[in-house]
Amino acid sequence: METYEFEGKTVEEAIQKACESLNVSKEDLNIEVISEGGGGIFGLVGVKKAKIRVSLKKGKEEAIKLAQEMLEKLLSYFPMSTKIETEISETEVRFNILGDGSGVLIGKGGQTLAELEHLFQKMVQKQWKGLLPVKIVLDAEGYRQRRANSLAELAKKLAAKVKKTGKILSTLPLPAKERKIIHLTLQNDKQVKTQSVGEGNLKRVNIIPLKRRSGRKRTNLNGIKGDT
Amino acid sequence: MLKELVEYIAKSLVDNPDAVEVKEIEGEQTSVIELKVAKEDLGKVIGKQGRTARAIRTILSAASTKVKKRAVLEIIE
Repeated sequence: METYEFEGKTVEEAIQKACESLNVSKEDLNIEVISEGGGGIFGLVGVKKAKIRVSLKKGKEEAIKLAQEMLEKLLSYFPMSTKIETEISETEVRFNILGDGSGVLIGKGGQTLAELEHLFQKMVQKQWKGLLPVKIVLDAEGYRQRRANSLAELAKKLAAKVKKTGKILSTLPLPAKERKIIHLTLQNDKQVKTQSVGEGNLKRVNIIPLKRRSGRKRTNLNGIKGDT
Repeated sequence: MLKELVEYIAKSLVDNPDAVEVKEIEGEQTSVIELKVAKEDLGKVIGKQGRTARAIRTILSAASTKVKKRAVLEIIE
């Protein structure tokens, strides 16, 4: 379950802040006090802030049920029959929409799917009236899954080429989520690093060789993730 | 069908679902769907940089390909 941290002069104030920004009442929160506030001279010097960690009590199951009902309703207006596969993990719920296999819901380069997801997340967020306890991911005909696999393959292929030739290679322009897959695939590869370059919709990922020079040790390679 | 789709999406997004009005003007090949929402909800159906409006239009055209008809969404102030 997702947790959020809040600070305030006192524990009370931190709780109040939490309620306001999460748009719920105190009763709907699990509250854990990390540090009590106070201290300092006349409350002026060296004041320690109170810190709390909260999570939403309202259930994940409820949110998923609401989302599923809304998705079914939304899809019922489409002139084709669809089926929904639900996959629930710790932090996210994935709805895979199975239709007639024509890809109407995927669109060119997954664009329709991306926009459907954006819209649907907004709709559920609004109806849930507060922060969702779970992230919602949409997929259609398993497209995202397939795409993720082929991107990972591509990343490995490119990395192998980079290592062989010692030259920088880059991918085609990719959306943020797909660039992330490339970065994540290669983050444990000690011989290359990845970096996003370009502006706006034309960002691509560069795969850069890291040749070990004699006597110099390179560290913190895993920290280089670029802009995902 | 398309009219109900837009209506459902809009009603789920706004603060005043009762103020949502959708009209469909049918043409031979193209239907124009007019969406009217309360003034304070206008930003919600348009979204940041028009992202939500664009998403609704994309969904609309995806839904209308099957019925072999084009649909245009107009958001009316």
